[in-house]
Amino acid sequence: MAMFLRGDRARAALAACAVGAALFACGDETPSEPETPVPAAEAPAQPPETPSPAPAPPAAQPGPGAASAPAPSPAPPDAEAQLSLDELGARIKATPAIGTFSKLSLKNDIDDLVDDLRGYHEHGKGNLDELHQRYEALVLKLLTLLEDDEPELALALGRSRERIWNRLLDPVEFAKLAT
Amino acid sequence: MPRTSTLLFVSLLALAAGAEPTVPRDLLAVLTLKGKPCGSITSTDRKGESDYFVTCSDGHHYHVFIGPGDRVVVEDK
Repeated sequence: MAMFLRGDRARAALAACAVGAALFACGDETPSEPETPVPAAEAPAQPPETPSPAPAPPAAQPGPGAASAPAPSPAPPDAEAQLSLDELGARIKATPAIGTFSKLSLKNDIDDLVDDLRGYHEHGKGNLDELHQRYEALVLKLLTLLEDDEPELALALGRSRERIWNRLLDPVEFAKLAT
Repeated sequence: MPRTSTLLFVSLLALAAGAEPTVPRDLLAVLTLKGKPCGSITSTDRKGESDYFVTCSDGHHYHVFIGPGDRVVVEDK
């Protein structure tokens, strides 16, 4: 990444690359978990929200009443969010919605955050809550820049933010970051 | 030049112009990202490659440029 490029276009390309770098780096497809489509925060394994009016009698026949069919159907809300992180990073890199200075500024912020996360993983330095807040602020900045001209990309990013953070938190995944 | 070609050319020009944010819009986005008050940008003065003086509607003036290490620097003027 320590290349010396000249010109706005070259800088834009560099910046765009870096903007996507965090997504890229932690965005390798992980085939080890075949069926984890939904982040834990969104859909826990057993949804506690619905009190399920008749949970007690297991032997009783579930009557044809409306309340007796829980029908969890966890797939639909995240179905459209299955945009791979590689693709997400590539789209951010290519989007014309963010200008040269903005991309480079975001790159600076991402680099700083990645450096501090590296310090956290390797030396236990830093406050994880503070790092998380900085990550969330970065995502918000990106969302703000994208929402007008790239609403679909902003939506995909918003849906992926927790998954990306979880990968950044995973030392193994983080170690895959290109430096 | 046939009318169709002219229309196509004008359309492509319009597309190209709208492809990327204008410099003032980009600079305003940077100021916002850096938490700098501005309002809107009233004028920009290009001092060099990736080097601008910015005048804001609220009276602030900034020097925005790319410094060492490819870092975006915003200085109050």
